[in-house]
Amino acid sequence: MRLQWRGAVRQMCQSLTTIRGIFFLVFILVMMVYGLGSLYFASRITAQSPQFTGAIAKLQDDFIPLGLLGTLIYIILFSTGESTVYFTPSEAAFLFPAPITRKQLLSYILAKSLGGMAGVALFFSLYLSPSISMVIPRWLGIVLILTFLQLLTMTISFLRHVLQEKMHLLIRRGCGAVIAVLLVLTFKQMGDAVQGADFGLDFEAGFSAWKSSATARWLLFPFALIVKGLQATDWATFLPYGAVLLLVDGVLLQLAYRLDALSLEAALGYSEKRALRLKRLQSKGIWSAFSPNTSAIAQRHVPQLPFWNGIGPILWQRTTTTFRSSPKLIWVTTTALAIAGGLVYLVAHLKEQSTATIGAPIAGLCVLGYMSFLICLTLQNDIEHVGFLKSLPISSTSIVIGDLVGFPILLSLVQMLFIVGLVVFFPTTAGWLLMGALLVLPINLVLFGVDKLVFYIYPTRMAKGAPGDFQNAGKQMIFMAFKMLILGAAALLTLVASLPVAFLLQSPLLAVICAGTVLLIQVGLLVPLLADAFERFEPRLVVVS
Amino acid sequence: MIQVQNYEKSYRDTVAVRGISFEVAAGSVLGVVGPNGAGKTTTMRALAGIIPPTKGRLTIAGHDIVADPIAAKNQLAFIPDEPQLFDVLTVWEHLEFTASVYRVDNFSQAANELLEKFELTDKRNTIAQELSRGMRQKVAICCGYLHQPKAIIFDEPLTGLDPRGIRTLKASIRERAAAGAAVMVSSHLLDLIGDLCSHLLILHRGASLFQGPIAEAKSRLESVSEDASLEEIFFQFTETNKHETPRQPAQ
Repeated sequence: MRLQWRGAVRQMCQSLTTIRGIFFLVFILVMMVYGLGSLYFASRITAQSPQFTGAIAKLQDDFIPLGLLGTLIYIILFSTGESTVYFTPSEAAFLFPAPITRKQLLSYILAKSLGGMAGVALFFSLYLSPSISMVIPRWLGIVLILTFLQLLTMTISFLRHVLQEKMHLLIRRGCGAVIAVLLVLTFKQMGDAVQGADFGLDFEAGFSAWKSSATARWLLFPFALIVKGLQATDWATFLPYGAVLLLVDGVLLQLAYRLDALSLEAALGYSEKRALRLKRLQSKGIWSAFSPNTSAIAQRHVPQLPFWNGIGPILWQRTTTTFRSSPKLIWVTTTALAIAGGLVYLVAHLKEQSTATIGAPIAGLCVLGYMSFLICLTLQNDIEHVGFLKSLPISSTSIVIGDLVGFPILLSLVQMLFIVGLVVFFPTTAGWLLMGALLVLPINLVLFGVDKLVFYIYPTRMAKGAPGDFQNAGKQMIFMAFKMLILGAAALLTLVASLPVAFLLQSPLLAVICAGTVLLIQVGLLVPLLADAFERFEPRLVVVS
Repeated sequence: MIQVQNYEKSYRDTVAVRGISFEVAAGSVLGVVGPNGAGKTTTMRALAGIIPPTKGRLTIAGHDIVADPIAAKNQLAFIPDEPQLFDVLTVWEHLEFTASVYRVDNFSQAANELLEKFELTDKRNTIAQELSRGMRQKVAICCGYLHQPKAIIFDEPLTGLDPRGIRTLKASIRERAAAGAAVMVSSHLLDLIGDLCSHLLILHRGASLFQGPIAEAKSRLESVSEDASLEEIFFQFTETNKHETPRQPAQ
């Protein structure tokens, strides 16, 4: 760990020899101070108002136990826990054959993750502390809770290795059945208590009734105690709760040590599998996670396109790759959109208000916008083919155009289908929806183009780091903020151009056309910048964060 | 056919290649050797137009790779050490893609012959993701040959190839050179270089220690005998210069 820290510090010092490195460090510091400071001052301000303090305490009472219960159920039923005992390839190569006990290895992994948890806990503790003097006990409490969850996940993973797979599945199903019975019981007791009262959409009243049922109270009791510990206003109140949590963590740790001795091989196997997956993600991007691996997908053909000054072959390759790699992604996107659409439809019809009927399709469009945002800004293209593309006898401009339009076109087609669905459900707002549809492709192109531009200028690949890898998280945060700045400027420009049209000509359609045109002009302006950045891009300089 | 004049490549404070010059004539095969970090791949990637040179002029069939990249790349095939295939495209689609990029009309017959030669016919409809390392390498070679390039650059071409694949590749390199192509092969396998190449370029720490016909390399060194192996020649050149950074490129 000492050497790893030394390497990280050295890397940071080296990066400070460049202006860009200094800029990023300053940015990280500013964001951290801003984040922590705003959390702390928000908690100070709310602490001064009894009304706010009461409301926040109630929220904590209601949702932290529920959240913890949910996490526990998730861990028991679904978590494989393998990621908690992950070793990097270098760690596996150096540490596994080294004269180090397995217990020491596990302690090393735990100590590493403890660093990350300490950082996460700091954010929460600043917000949850009523006064500066209580920041440390809050922080300790949260660290202990996170450690409990980590150790529990780890223990379940080890149990899985120790028990036969069939037996483990059986136990897991048994647990699932017990949990299901208990949950059903809570709803039955709730029904008996409220005697068929209809809560409609009053979620809070329904939740209060559920929470008051005997089984729910029993289920939530240990977590409610934890919350009491977290809400302690002095050290004396906190210490007993802290001691109990520490004891529970200690017992789990001992259990983990004992079980771990039997799962070394499985941990190594998982580490190798995960290292391969990470390598793939790092060189080919998140897109590769959706890539199927059988030749059956070759049956999905995209017809060859004309040469079009070199754009055609690149566009064909990109579209084919997206078309063949994306069914899972398209399925996930469509399902998410369908659920969101269903919800807005439900809300609109339950309320039976004109505002809701207009609001629902607008909400649908917002969901679409968010999907574009999420997908376009996280699905960078693979690094390893940049060198290959650069060696082709095609101009940089043609390559970036072919590369830029392939994915947004397919994404826009999926979103258009969703809009058609909304039009069917909300025929009265068809006009607004179709106007929104006009902007789908230009918006996707701008989002995708900006993402590519930032990537070519500063080629860092998003990849999942170790738990609590704040350096990676910070770097990604900076890139996201940088992209947001550019996108904010683009959005402002679009608004400045289109709003006067809307007000002066009193024509929303013309305003939308104007906005679409401005967005397409921005895409046009992005192309030479992208081409230039592509030409300057040297695959050797790619940084995997 | 391939000309490199005073080529230099730097990354911030690191000088990867220090002003080297060499030429590969049509019909000849140049072997590029050197220890790790000598600048072999950097030179080849610059010739392929992947990285720009910091200084110097690199031309393919008379076209400057910086000033006239499209014309230069049209005459070139670059087969890197790690084949860069598209995971979800089939073997045939890679050939189709190459044909469309290099505008090769009626490519089917040539493509089928290449697949036959490199024993890939039964993998025609297999996606690249399902191919072994050696097969991926063969696909990259087939794509490189498809447009009949005048200059061919191989970076560590034998990695992953089976014995038959190695034999086929060697034969194909000789055939291409005999047909008038200029071929550059970088490898750490000195036997391959000795077996295949007519000329030699020895790079060390970014500088050229020797460039010329292999026979001339022996005569250049007084301490080696006439029947000295390429391995002896290589170590004579590189070990002598182990502790010094050459300032002037050797001729």
